[in-house]
Amino acid sequence: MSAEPQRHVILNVNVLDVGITHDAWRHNNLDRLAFVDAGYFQRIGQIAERGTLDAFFLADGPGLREDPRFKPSRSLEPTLILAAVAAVTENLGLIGTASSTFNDPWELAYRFQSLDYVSGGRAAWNVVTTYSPDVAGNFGLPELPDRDARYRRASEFVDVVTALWRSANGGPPVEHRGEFFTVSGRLPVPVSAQGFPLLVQAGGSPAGRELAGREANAVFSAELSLRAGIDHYNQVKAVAARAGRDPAHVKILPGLITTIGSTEQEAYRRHEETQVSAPDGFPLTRLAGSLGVAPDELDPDAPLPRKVLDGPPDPKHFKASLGFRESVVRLAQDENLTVRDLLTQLAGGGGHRKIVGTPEQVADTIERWFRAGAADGFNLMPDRFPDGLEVFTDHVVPLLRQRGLFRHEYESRTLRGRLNIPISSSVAAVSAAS
Amino acid sequence: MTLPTPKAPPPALVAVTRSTLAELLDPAGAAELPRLAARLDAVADALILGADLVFEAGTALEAGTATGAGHAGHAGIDPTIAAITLAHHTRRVGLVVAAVPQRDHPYNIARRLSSLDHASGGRVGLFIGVEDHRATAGSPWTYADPVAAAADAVTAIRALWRSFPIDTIVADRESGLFAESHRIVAIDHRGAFDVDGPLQVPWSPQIWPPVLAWSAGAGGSALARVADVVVNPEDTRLVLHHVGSLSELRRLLSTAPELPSSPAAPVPLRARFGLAPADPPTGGRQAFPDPAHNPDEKQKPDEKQKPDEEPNPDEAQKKVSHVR
Repeated sequence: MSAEPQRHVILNVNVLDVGITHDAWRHNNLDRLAFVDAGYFQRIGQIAERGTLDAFFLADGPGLREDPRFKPSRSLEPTLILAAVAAVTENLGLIGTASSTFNDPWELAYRFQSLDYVSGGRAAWNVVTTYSPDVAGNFGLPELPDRDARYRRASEFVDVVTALWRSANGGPPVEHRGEFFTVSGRLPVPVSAQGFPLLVQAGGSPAGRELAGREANAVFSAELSLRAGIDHYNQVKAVAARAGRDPAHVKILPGLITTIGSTEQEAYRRHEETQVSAPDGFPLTRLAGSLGVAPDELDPDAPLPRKVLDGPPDPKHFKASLGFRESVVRLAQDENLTVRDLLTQLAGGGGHRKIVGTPEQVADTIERWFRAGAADGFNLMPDRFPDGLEVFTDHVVPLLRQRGLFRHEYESRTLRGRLNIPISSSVAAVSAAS
Repeated sequence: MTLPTPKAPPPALVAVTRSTLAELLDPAGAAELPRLAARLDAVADALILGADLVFEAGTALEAGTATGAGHAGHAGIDPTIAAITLAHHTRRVGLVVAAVPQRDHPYNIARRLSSLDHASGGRVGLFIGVEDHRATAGSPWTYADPVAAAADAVTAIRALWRSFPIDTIVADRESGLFAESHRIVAIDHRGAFDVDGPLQVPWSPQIWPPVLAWSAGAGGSALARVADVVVNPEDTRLVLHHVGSLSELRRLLSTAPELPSSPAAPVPLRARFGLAPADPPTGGRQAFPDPAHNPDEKQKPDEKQKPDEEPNPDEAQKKVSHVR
């Protein structure tokens, strides 16, 4: 790593529907059906590529998890959106989320390798185990398997998928018999320009960090404070080193929500628009949901209750994201916040850091986290599309370039090439899978 | 099954294997793709993507291709990924995607096909298959007989496709109401697959993309009963070209007669097969009950009502407990 002449920050854009804020659709003048329009996603991909961003990222869960009464949510299937974006871009990486609980490893390996092939080696699979209990019923399960079972399955699933990708790249045929899967044969799909897709891991639970350190090429994490960011960065890199990997081969990319204005006042005005239009109790309900308690258990004028600070009584069966929960609780404790203060600080952002400010202020935050060793880059979450991304590529990217922190043009067409991850070290546990 | 009246020219279908799709979409051949795509629009009513998933090896069609056998062992690509790429490069040809609910769960198939129908302006169809002979054996989702599972998957997929009416999306910027979500329904499908729904994709342009089945394949008659269009090797109401390689496809596209020109807007694939526009029922258990729009006072807002029938123990045993 020290041999690299220049180290750049990695920037992906997380295309959350039409923007991460609940009311993005009320402000951005997009068609009401933009969230199911492949052409809309293609235009966002073209903006991202104009800004030489590393990748287009899609979060996902296979179900209608949130009531769409107040906002659109994940709809079109990610690998297909990404293939549509691939058709109008040449360099942009394509990262799709898919659940290891609600897919089959053979089918998923085949489909992602197909995407990687048609896109010229630009794909990555973001592994999630899916924490939303409502999804289980779509797949014949009476309830979501507990967290331990999901992560055991995820670990075996990832081993099988990577062994299948290697089998398509001249590796041995897979002969796998495990707790969850029996798979044999060679994946009959062509090699891509980067060999096979990269692996990304999202999820900040302890088991998630362990999986990331052992297997992932990049981690999409949720951090609210710089101190926690540095701690978790070091934890994942240490797991990688213990697993015999080069820690530089797992990139840490926290989410970063941006509301940008040409002046601070303009940015705050834009932010306020969103705050005042929230449906009654919406921020509190969201916060309660991510803490795993009922809204009426939170007193706005008191600190978080003991029961929340003590942690979930049974992490195995906690029905929300452990990673989000941890980062929110840590922020409240570190800064001794009441529930009301906490809501102000979160600014509707859930477990991810949110910045409201000028392009300089956004670039400063990115630089500070990068230089402090809290991040190798960010998964950007603009408040609204497309203007929230345009202002980033037009005004923040040039600042980062001036500071020597970001590329002027793409140096490699494949995602693996840009992230400088050799095929041989992308997965440590290959032999264990076959 | 409904096919166009004899007066209309028979639909011209071009069936390509997954390995031909890999050749066609090889990034090295990107310069040629727009021209081939334009020819497809001109000469074919529909392309069948992944024909090797539905036409059994050794059939008359397969044997009729000069080089088909030589390409059977080649690497191929996923038909849904190929379909969205071709949807981008074509404007009017139908895209019939072969899918097998053996390792691909019906929820995921329904979602990808609906996504494709949105992206193609209503040009997509589903060709249902029973087994992918090139995949690892077995199903991770069900112990049911594979033919019965494929037929059941079609029923579940159609129910999912109707669960989220697109006119629920009102996107009223003034009031902040995005969707009249009380009209979205669960499907509570029980069979070889248990699927609660709803689908997260609202109605696609066709709502119900046509479902095709192969009469001579495994489970032909069982699948014919649930399909909208049955493809039969002796049927003169279809012109079926089976293509086993890119060079065969190039040859076919350069020699096949052009179709009568059609309007600039894409024709729904259902119409090409002579099917009436879909008109599905919209009733069912509310997925997001709203007290203001609750047809049943007794239903508590946050309580999902399950069908009241007792689970059949034989049915229950067919499910694979995929997370043990």
